[in-house]
Amino acid sequence: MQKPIALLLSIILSLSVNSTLVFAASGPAGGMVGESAIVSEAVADQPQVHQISVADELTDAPVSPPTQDNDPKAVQGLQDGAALLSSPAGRDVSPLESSQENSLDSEPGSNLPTKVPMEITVDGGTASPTEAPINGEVLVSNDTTNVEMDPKLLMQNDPTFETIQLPTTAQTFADSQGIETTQASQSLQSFQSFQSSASSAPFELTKTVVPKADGGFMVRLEAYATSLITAGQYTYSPYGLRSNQLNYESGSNLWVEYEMGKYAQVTIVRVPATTPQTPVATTNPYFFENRDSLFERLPDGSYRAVQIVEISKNHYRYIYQDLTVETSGNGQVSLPRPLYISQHLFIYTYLVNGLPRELGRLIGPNAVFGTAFFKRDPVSPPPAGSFGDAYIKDSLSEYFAPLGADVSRIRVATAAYTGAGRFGPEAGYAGGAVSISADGKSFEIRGFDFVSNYVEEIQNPDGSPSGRGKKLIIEYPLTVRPGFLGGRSVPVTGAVSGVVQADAVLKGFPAAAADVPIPALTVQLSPINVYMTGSLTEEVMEQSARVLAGETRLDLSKAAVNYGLEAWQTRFIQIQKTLTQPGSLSSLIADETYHLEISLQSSGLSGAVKSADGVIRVFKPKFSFKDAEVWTGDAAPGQETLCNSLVGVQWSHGDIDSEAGGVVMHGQKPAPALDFEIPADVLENGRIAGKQDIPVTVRVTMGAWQVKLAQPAFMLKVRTGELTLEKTGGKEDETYVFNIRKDGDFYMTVALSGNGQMTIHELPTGTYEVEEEAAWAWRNSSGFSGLPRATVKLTGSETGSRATVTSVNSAIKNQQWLNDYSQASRTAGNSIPLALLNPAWAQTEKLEISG
Amino acid sequence: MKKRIQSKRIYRVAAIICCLMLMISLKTPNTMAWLSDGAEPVINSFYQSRVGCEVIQSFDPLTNQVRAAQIQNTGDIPVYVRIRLIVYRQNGRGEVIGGREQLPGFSPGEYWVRHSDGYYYFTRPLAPGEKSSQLITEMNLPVYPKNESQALEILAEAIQSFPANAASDTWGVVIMENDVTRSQP
Repeated sequence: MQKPIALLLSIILSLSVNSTLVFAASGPAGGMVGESAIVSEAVADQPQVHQISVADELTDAPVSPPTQDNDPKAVQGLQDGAALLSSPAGRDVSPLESSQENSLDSEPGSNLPTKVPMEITVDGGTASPTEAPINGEVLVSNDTTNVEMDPKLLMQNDPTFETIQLPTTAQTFADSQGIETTQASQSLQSFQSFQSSASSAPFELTKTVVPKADGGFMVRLEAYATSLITAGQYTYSPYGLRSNQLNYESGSNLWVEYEMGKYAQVTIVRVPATTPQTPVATTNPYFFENRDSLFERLPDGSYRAVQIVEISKNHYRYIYQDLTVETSGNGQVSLPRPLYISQHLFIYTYLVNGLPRELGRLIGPNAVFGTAFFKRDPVSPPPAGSFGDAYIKDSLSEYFAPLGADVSRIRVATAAYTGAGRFGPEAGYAGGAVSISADGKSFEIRGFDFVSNYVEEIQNPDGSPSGRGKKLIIEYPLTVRPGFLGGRSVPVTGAVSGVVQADAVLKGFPAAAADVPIPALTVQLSPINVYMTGSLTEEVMEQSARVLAGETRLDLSKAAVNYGLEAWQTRFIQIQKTLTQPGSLSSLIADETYHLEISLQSSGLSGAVKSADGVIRVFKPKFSFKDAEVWTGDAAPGQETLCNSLVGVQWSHGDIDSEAGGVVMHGQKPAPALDFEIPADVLENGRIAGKQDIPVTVRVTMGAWQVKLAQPAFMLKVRTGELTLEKTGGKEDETYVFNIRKDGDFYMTVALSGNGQMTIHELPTGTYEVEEEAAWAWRNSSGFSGLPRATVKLTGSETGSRATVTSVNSAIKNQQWLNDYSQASRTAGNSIPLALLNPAWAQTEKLEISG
Repeated sequence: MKKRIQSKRIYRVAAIICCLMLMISLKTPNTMAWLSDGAEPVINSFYQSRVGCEVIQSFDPLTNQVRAAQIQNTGDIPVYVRIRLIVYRQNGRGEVIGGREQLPGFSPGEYWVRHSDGYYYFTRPLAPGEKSSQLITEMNLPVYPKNESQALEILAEAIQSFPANAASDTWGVVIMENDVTRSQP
């Protein structure tokens, strides 16, 4: 029942205290501040009746500023705490003003805390407050549902506050920092972005690219450090709220009131009095490993855990360095010095030349709030000696050729700052160690001390403006990477370009770009060879084109895939091809031409345009046939047989043979249709009747076209058979007559004289029967191997086309009468006299030639 | 007809006998003298009749025309003659080549008869040295291209005309004046 009453009184009192605090914070006099602080503390403690006595005692105490004013770290801590300060009345207290005033206006020694041990009795105990109360400085609650923190409220009228989204922590981050996983749900990326933005401030960097006459470029880098060099990082640290009021009750509960009616309850692990804890001190106010522990700020700015000794049940002793507070039962005590209760905060610190400085902090236990509140630290001169190992690193974009191993190509110089934004003349700088990466795509320059050479405006003794520090100047040539086709505003910088420390880019050079000329075009179109009646595709025409941009080949057939080039080669240009093709690309029967135009364009840059005319050569067929043999009497050869006379088809264009080396034909070789024709008058019942060679005409059809050929295309050489008749057993002066039947029909009659023989030439294939005319040769019996007639079959082959039959005279049938045979008298029409052809005949015959 | 032929033979035999007797009588004195001194040997000479014939023909190469074809009895006895006309084709090299050829038309001369066996018979016996009439007085051999030509081959056979059955036995025909018939078996 005591607590509600006390709270009500606290509210009333806090309103008054706040008003006073405002006055005190803005007041210029330290004494005034101290006085106000005391008053305010006395007023703040009004709800506790027994605190009046404390106030009375404090009235006698020496006036002193807050204890943290003496030490920069303490100032920092104060600032940190002040950054989170919010008055219950909603009026923000400027922590900057407070801290600066506390820090700058305090005389050395005057702000030392009172070292007189005091004992405050609460329910029998005592307390000795020595620090100015900063009620509600830290707003913390374990009960998030009860926390109502309005960032706008906190930031009101204080431009040094800024809000960022809570750093989202990945699981690993959460684990390493001991944050509840559910509370580490925001992205680490946003955290890093903040880190990056914070770290981009301390350097001034320029990067320019100037074209050279040889087509290359000269890159110039300038870098110098400004007065503030910041590298930021988040740290997750336990931090404490502090309060001058300590609420306690029987058991293990302590809580502080941070706002009217709102409490932060802290569970403290108490230790028995018999085993007192050894106070643990740390210089880092933000790293108390033990959660929910109580600690105090020591006069030197460090913090130390408060030793809690359990004297008896519900009776504890809080042993500060110089005071002891004992509590028993339930109650509340106003403390003369803030009691810090560790909590978990996100704190963003930055480094000023390597030293940590808090930039802002996140308020709230376990980071459950969606918004973090940060307060930036005012600019402070950096101490010397830090960032000495920062160096310049620059890299080339993929559009430029590697630098090579010759470091002399990189010129390094410095220029002193002369104030008013001006630098003096360049001076050679030999202190920088230039190293080029193995691939030649990046280089580093180490050794330039940005800290000692940081650039700053100063004043000469006479008050005129001057400057200090130097900038680093780097120049190196750039050549366009072979294969790059140029373009406007081509980035020259690769992945890393800036001031680097420990492999982290502190600040990057501004983006620089160059207008890389587009190389001249060469367009050559090779003749396209196609077969007559063949077809052509646009792709073939593109394949025949040889397009060079400089020395880089553009494969037009791969236009859809960046002309066969890699993306970097054409990233800044547009390639256009215009192909003017013949009217028809199919059934080509005559030469055609086509036109190709290639253009490379980059907006704002002179492009390249080139065109050429190409020729489509239509190769026409030349058919070669060979003569064939047929046998008189055989069936006329069919188309398939006649086609065997086709030796080959030669496709040519003028004197150019399609099979010649280096000649590339496009499309499939057509298969002409051949139709052979034999004159009908050489056939008889479908068989070869004549003995003269037969001309064969060929009609060639290719699609809808017919090819004219010299006719006849080839000859069928007609072969004939031979049948030799011979007589044995005959008489020299006798003649013998033979009748020959062919295929059953009478064919011809011939005569022999004596034991002679004769050959009948030019016989068609077929079956022949030879029979001697017995009516003529009546004197003797004769036969063919005992048969009255000989039968032979002449076939269309070399051996089968010849045959010999022999008529043998055997017994004399009749020798009774005298007879005589004349010599055969032969006369041939339409020829020269037989006697002239065969003188033997002339000798044996009486041939009278009339006329 | 037969009788006439037989009577002629009788006359001839008688004439031969007379001649022999005359010759013997002329020799008688010598023989007698030899007989007186010794008889001289008597030599009897026998001569075999010879049958022969030749074909005599005339050809005009300008017109491809056979203008004459006749048979002459080159033997020493009368004969009957017959002719086998063979036509075939020959090429420019004079070689016999195959092919069916038709005998060009012609009008057989006097006493020439074409029998059904295809032979031409001269229906009168030819005395030794005698020539038959022209079997062919005009025959146009056909004209062929490519130097091919039709060859006409004339085969002639003569057989003794006496006795008459010589021809019928061998040729199977009976030859009469302007007629040839098949002989009776």
